[in-house]
Amino acid sequence: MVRSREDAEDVTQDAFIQAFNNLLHLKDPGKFEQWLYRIARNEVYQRFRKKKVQEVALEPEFVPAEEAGGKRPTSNPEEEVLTVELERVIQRTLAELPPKLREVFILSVLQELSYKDIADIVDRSLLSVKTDIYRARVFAKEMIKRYLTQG
Amino acid sequence: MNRLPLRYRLHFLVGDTRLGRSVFRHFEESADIRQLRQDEADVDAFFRRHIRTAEPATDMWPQIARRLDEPGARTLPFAAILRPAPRTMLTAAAAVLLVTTLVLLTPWSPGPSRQEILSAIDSRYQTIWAVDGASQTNPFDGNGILESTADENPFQAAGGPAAASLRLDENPFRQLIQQD
Repeated sequence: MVRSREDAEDVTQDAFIQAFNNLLHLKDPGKFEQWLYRIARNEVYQRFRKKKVQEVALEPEFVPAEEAGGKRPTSNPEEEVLTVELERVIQRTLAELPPKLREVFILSVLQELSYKDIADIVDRSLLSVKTDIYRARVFAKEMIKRYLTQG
Repeated sequence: MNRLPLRYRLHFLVGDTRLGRSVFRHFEESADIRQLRQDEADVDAFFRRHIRTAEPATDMWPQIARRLDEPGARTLPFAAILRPAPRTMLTAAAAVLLVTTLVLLTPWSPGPSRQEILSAIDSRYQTIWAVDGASQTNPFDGNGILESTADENPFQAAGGPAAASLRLDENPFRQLIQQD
């Protein structure tokens, strides 16, 4: 959502501090995770507002897998190049998703949260969340397909 | 909705369970729909497989802990109960007390009306007149107050007619108030 590692770390720290300071306001301890996501989401949007970032126009910052702390599954150089290229395409696809679709898509696909939890986090109706996840999938599929067909 | 065949519209309105079941069966059995659902699952799997989520830095938590230890950055939950809350409650209590006092002290009635003032004065004056009537004495003639010389009585000095012109049954203040 924030596209840079530094921003992501800052947001994470701020979110934890906010959560710590507002622990009294957590009504249902069973929903701590969703609550924390919600705080983090608010921090992200607050940061955007502060910086007045036009995020749609921003070029996404590509984080190589090693820097991101991940490990590539291959050791073949050619395959590794393709993987890097694929990651770049995926990052670009995510970056081109409208923020409203991107956040629900990430929460659904990457965090594997239920639609209901996502609706609670983003404070929208279940139907709206379902629709946006569907749209995001269609969009993402088209983007990847276009990349693959272009070779 | 209007483009749908009548039986589907009827189903929407009355909830035909038989038709509903057939629709769900269609969802399960239709090759197109199955393909659609498979595509969605593939997209999800593709992204899960290829997106590298950034691992947090190893010093992330020490940094958070350090920030929490900074003065002013940390509001302990219990401190939040003990400190700001009583201050807020005291302020609220003080405000309630102040408002109550002001309400109690504020003269909400507009005060006695002119008629009430006149009646009060009339009543007072009638009492004096009644007492005087009972004693058959003119309270302004100096009798009972000035026992000796008539020269010391200002009303008598002003002359008998002045004192005589004063009608005891007339409220002299009424005229003044009515002129106001």
